[in-house]
Amino acid sequence: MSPSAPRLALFLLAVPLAPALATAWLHPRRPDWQALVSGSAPANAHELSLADVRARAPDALWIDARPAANFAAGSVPGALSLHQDDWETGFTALVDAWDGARPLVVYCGSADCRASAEVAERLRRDLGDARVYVLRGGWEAWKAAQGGGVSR
Amino acid sequence: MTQGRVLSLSRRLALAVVAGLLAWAGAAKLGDPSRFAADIANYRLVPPLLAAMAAVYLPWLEIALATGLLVPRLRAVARLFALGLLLVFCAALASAWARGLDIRCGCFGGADGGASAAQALARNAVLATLLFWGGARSVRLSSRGLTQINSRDAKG
Repeated sequence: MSPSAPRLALFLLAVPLAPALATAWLHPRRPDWQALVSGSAPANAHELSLADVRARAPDALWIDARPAANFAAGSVPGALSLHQDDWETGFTALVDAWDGARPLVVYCGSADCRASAEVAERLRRDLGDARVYVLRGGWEAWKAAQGGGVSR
Repeated sequence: MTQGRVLSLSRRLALAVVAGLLAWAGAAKLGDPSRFAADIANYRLVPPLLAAMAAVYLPWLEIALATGLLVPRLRAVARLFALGLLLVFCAALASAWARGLDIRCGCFGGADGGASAAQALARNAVLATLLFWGGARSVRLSSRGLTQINSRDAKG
């Protein structure tokens, strides 16, 4: 490899650093660095079991973060569909239905999915001081608690 | 038009297609770094802080590599880095697939409709093939050194 290749490689790796730093510092949707550095980023801090939801947020408004097809096939009664890829539609419906005081509980397919955590994080950001929780175990946990299947 | 000229043009076209997709992927992720950080963290391969740092750096790296693929002097190095990046992405996707993680690819922000790991792997394989094809002459002439190849690209 020619002597200039390492310099070109370093150049290509270094060029993105300046805009990346600007993004990290100024972007309105930048990560929460303070929480990340301190280790207090809420990974599961807002996750509740179904029993906890019933005890602590019995009047919760349920948010279904699964794809629309899964929502149509069956969901928690009264839940609103809010998927990341059709955020505007779902968010408008949520704002129309939500009184601003009820806690929000978001769920996705199972314990392995992350859509509910992502939607919850985005809701906290967009709705300010809303109480937003994630249902541990998601739709599978709900179905199991209902004895195999609840749909509407 | 000679066969050699057609081959040369097709290789440049292949690199241009990859450059366009890389630039699009980078630009799409720039809209919401927090979301991309969550996408990376969902692979459960790196701690959240590292995922967040990657989320602000990788989109710009993709854009820089896309630009590099179009600049003769940077093309060979950009191609190697782009191949390396695709390899890393493929390893992460395969790992998530093997562990049965139900996660978004995160490859194009939200612009790809949340492609599955299998779809993203297939797409990356196509991109890697285009990168190999686009740099075939460079590989064949590698014994002559990158400078010579770059100077040939610059002239051609």
